[in-house]
Amino acid sequence: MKTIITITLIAFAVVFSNCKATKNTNSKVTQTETSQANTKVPEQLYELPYDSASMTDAQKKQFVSDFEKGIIIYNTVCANCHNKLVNGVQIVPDFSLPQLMDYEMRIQYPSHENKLTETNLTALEFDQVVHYLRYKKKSGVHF
Amino acid sequence: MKNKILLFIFIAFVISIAFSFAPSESENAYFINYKNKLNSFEKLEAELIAQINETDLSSISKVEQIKSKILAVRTQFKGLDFWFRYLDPLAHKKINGPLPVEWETEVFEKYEKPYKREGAGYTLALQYLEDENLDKNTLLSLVTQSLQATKAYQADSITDELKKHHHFYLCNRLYLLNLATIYTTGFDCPEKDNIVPELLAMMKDVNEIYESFNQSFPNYNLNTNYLNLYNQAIQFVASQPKDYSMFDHYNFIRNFINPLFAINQQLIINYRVFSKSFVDYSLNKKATSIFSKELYNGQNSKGIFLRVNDEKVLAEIDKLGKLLFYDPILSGNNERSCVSCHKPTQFFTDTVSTTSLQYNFNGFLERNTPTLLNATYNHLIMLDGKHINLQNQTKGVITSAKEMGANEAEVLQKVLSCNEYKTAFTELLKQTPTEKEITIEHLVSAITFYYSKFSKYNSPFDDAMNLQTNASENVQQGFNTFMGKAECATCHFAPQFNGVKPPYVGSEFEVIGVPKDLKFTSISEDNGRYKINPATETLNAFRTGTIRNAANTKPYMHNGVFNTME
Repeated sequence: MKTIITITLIAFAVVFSNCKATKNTNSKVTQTETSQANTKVPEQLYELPYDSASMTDAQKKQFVSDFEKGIIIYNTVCANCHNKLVNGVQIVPDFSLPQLMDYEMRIQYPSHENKLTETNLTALEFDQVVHYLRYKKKSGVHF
Repeated sequence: MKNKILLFIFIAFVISIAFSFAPSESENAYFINYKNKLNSFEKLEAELIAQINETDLSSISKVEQIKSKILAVRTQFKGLDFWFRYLDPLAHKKINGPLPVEWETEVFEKYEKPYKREGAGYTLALQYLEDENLDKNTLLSLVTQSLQATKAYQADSITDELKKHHHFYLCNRLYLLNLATIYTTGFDCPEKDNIVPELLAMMKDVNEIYESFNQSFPNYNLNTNYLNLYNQAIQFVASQPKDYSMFDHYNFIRNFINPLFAINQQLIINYRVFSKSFVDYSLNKKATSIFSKELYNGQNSKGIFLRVNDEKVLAEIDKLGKLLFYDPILSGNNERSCVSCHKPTQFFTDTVSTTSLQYNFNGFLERNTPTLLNATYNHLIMLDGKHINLQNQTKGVITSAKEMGANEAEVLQKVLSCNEYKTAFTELLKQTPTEKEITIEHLVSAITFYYSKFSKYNSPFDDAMNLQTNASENVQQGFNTFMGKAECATCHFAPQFNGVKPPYVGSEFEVIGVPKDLKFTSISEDNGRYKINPATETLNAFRTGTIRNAANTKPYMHNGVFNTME
């Protein structure tokens, strides 16, 4: 019986895959198509590192991409507790470098214990949030 | 006279101030207990070093005296193991680590290049005493490093921890996990005759720790239920034969250690205990049994969908994962799928082939297909630990020229050329706001989510350990042999019975000399972990896999050389 189910599933998958394209330029799907915002990060939002003059174009592109992802993850995972309300406006506070101690953040603060697990924030995402908080323009509001 | 009165008042004032700041004996009982044990241990270590310095190691009787002294030092150490193992795991390994060299690839370290740690301490010193040509300096080095490591436990960073209750319940959790997995098996006590006596001495020492803690922290007490059960556990060990191979591991863990673990976990929650240690990195506070699949987090099976909790969305990811798992368009020639090797009807492995066919039928692969069941409970993936997560492993197979022979861009294009896939993944893209477009990560995350749901601890043995049923006499005897005489459990640790031991933050690799074939004339030529981390110690080493479902996942070993477990 299990073998029949397996064969049926394989057959279904083969039929399903018959629509595969050899070269289909329309196969790319972006967030724009899904009507989500596909915003570009304005330069005034971040400060490049002091040695940015020596960065290659690829490094700059990665810098901006990580920054952009860091904003989204911060807003999804962190903003609810960390943003400060100043005169009715939500402000992302400035974190000091010791406060942005990567892995250590997972365990140094009791409130992070259940929220910053590896099953809620990957190591890569962690780096992107730290990257964002480190290089964002300072708001003047300290955490 | 007036001056005398003033002087008397001043002295009385000073004394009263001094007494008001000095903690009472009961408040200090716990700290005093720690300090006393630590100081006695250091003193004993110093005595041992002096004795070695004065001993002629060519005399067998003198060497025996050294051995006796080392055993005494280690028994004393066992009384501190409760604190040492948790508060500074690295120093602990220098005192009683079982291995001369360790390559660390622990949970967060997996993002870095592996690095080497030289071992030291009493287990290695005892082993060294078995050598024919003893060198005094080598022996002294092993024990002196241990003494130096012990001094780390006098540091403020550690003793300050003792002033709060948090560390105590986390130390205790690790202690209980090790009672179930390590202390009874001889993992760090190669002299088998000492396993049960050292265990008993340690349990009694820890009882003293419990008493002093309760005295010093009346608001965070270990409750009466716990203490009563713990005392029964001590009596149980005291009633066991001295011969470690006769020890009843089954009833010890089932009736005492696991229920104690459950109470400790509840107290961790009740007392709002929180951790500042990487030791607790993967352990779950909510797990109420050592035999719970929630005990520790190994892998993130959801991948890029990690923060999705909506059941409907998860069902959709699961459905897509299943389709992709069976779909040959993930291969370069549209003829192979995940299921070609990981057959769901065969416990997600291939029980027929020793090793699977290569891409385009160009011979056979080097290694046996591992089961995907319980793969999620590993910290490093693949038998050589090549990948740090399940998603990378899936991509690795898809793009391997010997396996599925595809490339990521081509696979993505083929999948998205299918309207059904495109529509479904487009809808799922909303769940991953950091991604501007569908990527290979979406595909492989769906696959890993699909197959990981079959990883469950729902065997009759788990039910028995959770007091829902009782195991047959045969199973109990088999488990006791596994944990004791057969020494299986010194590599396959409960509850997963793989190479992930408490505190469940790293995957162990072992060199066991698997034969090339059943002629047993040479060992397998596969270098194993060496391919990832070339070092003398990693040559022919392989990640210790789980033996759960082993009866259904033949053939065995990395090259599938054995077709039966016997």
